[in-house]
Amino acid sequence: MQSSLGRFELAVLCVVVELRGDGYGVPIRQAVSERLGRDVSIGALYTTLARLEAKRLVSSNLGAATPERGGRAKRFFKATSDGVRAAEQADTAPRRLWFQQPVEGGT
Amino acid sequence: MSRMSGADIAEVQRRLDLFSAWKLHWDPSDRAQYHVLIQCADRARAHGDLDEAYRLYDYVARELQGLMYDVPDNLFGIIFSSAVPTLGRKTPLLGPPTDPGPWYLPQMSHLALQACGVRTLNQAPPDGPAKFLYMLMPVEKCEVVVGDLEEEFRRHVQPRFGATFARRWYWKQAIFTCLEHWLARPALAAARFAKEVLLEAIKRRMSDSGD
Repeated sequence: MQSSLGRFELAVLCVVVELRGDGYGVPIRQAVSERLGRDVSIGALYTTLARLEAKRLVSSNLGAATPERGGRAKRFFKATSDGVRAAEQADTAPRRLWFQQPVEGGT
Repeated sequence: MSRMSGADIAEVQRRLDLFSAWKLHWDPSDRAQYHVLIQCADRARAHGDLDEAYRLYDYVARELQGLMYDVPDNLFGIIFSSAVPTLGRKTPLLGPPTDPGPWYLPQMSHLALQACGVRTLNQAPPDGPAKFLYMLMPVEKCEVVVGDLEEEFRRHVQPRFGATFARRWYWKQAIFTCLEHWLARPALAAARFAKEVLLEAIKRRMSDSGD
């Protein structure tokens, strides 16, 4: 199933794909802010990550606690195979709109 | 102490000239020009040229003092600056300002102080925002969010902008995180409900026209 992704969701998903499982709140937020050219609140980021997780495009697991974070754990995010496919297909979707050509492997 | 090379100085000069050109088309909401200058200053500092770095930091600090007002470092100030971003500003001044007023930009003066080697860092993050989040959000979500905010406070925001700005940033992030948490679910539910109602109406219309 190909789920529709908003621009912000797509930016977050692409960053998670690029970080290859090493991404947690801080680096993901910085990368998304750089990519979109605006400040992104951590709340908006986690809401979007939760939405992507509900769509089964990313998965998460808790890491170790560090003193720098006041003894709190990190939550690492990793793109699932559906997530990687959705990020790849998001690139071809505008082309399909322009040229009315079916996307390979799409619905 | 190593000095900047000729190419680096030329780059700094080029960017300063660019900055002068930008000033002719001044837009108070655009801070990008200052970011370029701060990058130049960072570069000068990385090369060990503290004189040049200080000159650039000081230039930015003095310019910003005269160009805009800041808001108080408390809850009212954060809400005020977020809700009405244009009210805290005033028109540009020509030349260095004589009276920065009570709303002096602390983060820029911090950069100038840091370039001189004066340390204003390593303050612990405030307790208030974390307590605020724990009070209004689920604990398991708070653990991760507060951890991220503390890490960013210590590693990125405070070293770059100083303790006062970092504290305000922390409060702002906590408030917006809480708002996102409480507003996102009802908004999503409302959107789903609207979608279902619309689909139902379309189906009914199609079945009516079919009959």
